[in-house]
Amino acid sequence: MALLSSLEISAGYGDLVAIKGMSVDLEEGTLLGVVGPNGAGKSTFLRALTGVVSLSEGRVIWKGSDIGGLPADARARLGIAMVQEGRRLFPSLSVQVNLMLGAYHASRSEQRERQDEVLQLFPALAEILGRTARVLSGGEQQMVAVGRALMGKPSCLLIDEPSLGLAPIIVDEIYKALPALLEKGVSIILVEQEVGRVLNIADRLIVLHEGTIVHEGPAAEFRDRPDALAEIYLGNAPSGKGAN
Amino acid sequence: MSVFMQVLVSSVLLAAVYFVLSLGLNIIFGVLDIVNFAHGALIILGSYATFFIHQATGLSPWLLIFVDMILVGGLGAILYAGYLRFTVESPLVRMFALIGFSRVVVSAILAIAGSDFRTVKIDYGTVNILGLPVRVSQIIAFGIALVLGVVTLALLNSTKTGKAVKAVVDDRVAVRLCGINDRRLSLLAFTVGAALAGAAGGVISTYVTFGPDSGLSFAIIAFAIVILGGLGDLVGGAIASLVVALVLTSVTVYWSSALTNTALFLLVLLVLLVRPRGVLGRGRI
Amino acid sequence: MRWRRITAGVALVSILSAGLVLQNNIFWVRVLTLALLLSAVAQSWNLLAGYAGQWSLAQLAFFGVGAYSAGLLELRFHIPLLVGLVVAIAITALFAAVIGYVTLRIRGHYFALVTFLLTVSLFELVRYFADYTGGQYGLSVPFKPGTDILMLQFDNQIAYYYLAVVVMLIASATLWFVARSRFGLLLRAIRDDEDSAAALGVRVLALKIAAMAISASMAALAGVAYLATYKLMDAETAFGIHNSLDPVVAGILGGAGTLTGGVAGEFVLQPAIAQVNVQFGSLPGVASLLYGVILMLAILLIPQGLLRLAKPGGWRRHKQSVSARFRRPGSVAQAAKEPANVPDSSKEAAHDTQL
Repeated sequence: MALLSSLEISAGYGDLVAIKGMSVDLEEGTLLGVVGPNGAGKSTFLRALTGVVSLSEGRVIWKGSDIGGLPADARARLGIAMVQEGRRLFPSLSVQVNLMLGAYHASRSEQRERQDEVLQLFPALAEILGRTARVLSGGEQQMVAVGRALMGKPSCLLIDEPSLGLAPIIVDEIYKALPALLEKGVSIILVEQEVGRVLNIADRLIVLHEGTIVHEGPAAEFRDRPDALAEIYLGNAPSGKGAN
Repeated sequence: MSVFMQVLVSSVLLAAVYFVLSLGLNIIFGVLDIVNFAHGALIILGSYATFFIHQATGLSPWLLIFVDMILVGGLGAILYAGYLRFTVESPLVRMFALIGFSRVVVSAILAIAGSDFRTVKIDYGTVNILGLPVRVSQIIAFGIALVLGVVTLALLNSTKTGKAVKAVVDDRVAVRLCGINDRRLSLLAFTVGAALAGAAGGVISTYVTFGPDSGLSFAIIAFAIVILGGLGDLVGGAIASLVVALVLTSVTVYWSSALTNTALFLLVLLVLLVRPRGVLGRGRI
Repeated sequence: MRWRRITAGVALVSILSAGLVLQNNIFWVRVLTLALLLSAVAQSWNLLAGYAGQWSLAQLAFFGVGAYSAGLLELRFHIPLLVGLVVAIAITALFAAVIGYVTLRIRGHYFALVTFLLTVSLFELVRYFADYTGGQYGLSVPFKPGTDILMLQFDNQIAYYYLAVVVMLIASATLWFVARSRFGLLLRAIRDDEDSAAALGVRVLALKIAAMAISASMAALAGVAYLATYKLMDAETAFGIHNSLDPVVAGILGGAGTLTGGVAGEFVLQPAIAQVNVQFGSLPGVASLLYGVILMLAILLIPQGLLRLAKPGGWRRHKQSVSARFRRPGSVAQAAKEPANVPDSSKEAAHDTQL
């Protein structure tokens, strides 16, 4: 049984349908990559899973139970954490407080323990714990965002476009942390623009286009045949239009 | 020069009271993103509560401030949990729901307590500060307001819940994704906002004479402070309180006390034109 | 669609004939005349709020500015009311545009707050400059016997009812034209998503200011007509905070963003207020309390307005949304827009200005 599944889910904003009929399974301990052109609905997919956007159709199943009726905070407490596109830290609060809020319900000592774990993963954060989130660089923000999500000791981590707007060197740092997480048993869904990065690390890959899945399969399939992926991307993309 | 010093002293004493006046409004604005049009009604409820309980029991009005906080805060909690949260989640719609509530409260006060003007008379004598005769009760009010303001800010900055409330002001969805129940924090914020309004009313009851409609004038001052300080920015609100106190005192002394609202409106226009995000530039637009 | 035209037609005929039918019932003629004049104000609110997304609490204030301008022009410069009407509208529109230039840059409810402060400020100013405005006694225009159209003076009292009808029709027609025009389309685009509209090159502020000026003109027209009818305008009527709510409540009740919401709303509200005042007017505060309770209930139960409720399928949609709000208050995930890269929490999670 998959850890997290979506069953024919559709969701959107007002009249705009962003994703339609998506059925996806995330197996425990794996990393699922979600790629596709701009506006394909990748972010909406993650937001529908976590409850930020409501479903117009379909169900979201977590460990066998339907969580579609749960508000976002309840789903987070189940162990599903999300790192949003654009980081979305609390700009007026310090790095340390940002992290602490990720483990809001934990005891003081637990919070300290988890913070240490996060600092192990991202040593650069140790020096900026006191800094206000607003003044951080993009890369620092991204690390804090991932760190905050990890503070909740999630069993499932959803990451939305971590490389967006960041220098490649910085993105490397983030990606370095992912295998370690997988080893710890965290299952990951990774939405990415940079297909190459995802291919290296994913177990399975989904290609989205205009709200629907146009291809899905083991990542290995595409690693050996980069043209196949390009074909799927280009073959489905109409002249430059996205569903923004 | 001496008149100016008197204006200054007066303003400083008022500023603390004004700050508490605006604090509840600002918190609700920051956390819930709604303009609490019932703010004036909640303030005046506090004033009336202090008046009547003082009259009936003789208890010190300063003590009664805490009673006001409990009573008005409780009413705020009921209003939010029992009504407001079921209305459409739109700041505009909720604004009107609160206007309706304000009408109900003020009308009820009018029906029950009548339209006479009241005040809580206490006299501890007068002191001379820099040439300005100041009533001791004004100094006490200043002190209590200062304590209230400082304690509220301290609680917000140092407690886990306070930090979560500040986080909601920043980004509600992100708070939810951290597994934190933001709706409870909304209820807390509204309750605290109402309690502070009630406290402000209690403080003010010793300062001025008030009638059922007086809440409006206080609310207007609070609105101006919140706009000048930046919506949702509490520290900005503290600075703005002093500025507004200075402006109002100066207008009253040098021009006319009948034009205070106009002065505030012009101040607001100026802020919107020049620095719409408030003095510290951290307010919501 | 046909159903709608038929109802509108019936309503129009009723309004037109009511003046004649009820001629001898002064009370109801008065109530309906007021309803008609205030409809124009409510429609002006509707234009700014329902189509441009800016909820103003100053519409009645513009009504007042129009009336005071025309009144002063007649008293001081002996300019006949009909001529003064045009000037007054221009003055009010200009005034609104200037205010709008400063204030239309901020979001809906914040804007509402500032318009509230404007109303309060005008109240103060009118009281302060009592030498010019008559202060708390108000500005009164002399009553002259006989009919003088230039002075908007009519011998037959019923003519004033029909003057009010004309005002209401002009206001509704204006709204209708705006709604149908490209201007109206752009306004709605701004209302729905200001940032996207701006990104597409729409001159948001300029259009909003135009909308505000037009809306203020509608209110000013009604204001001058009111002055002509009652020969009096005072601070409480024009700038009183209780009264300033009236056009807004009517607009919401009728349905913000509908074509005739303001009219429908006032025609429910004014008779209701009149009745309540008759029953409870002697008991202090009771009428006002009732008003507040009804407002709270209306906001809770029919925020989308009566007209939308009356549409086919309206009742079903209404029940669905009300029960949704009660079952899961606050946790209903919002129709959130895709966030920009810069954290802007004010846009997400709590914003739904679509009534």
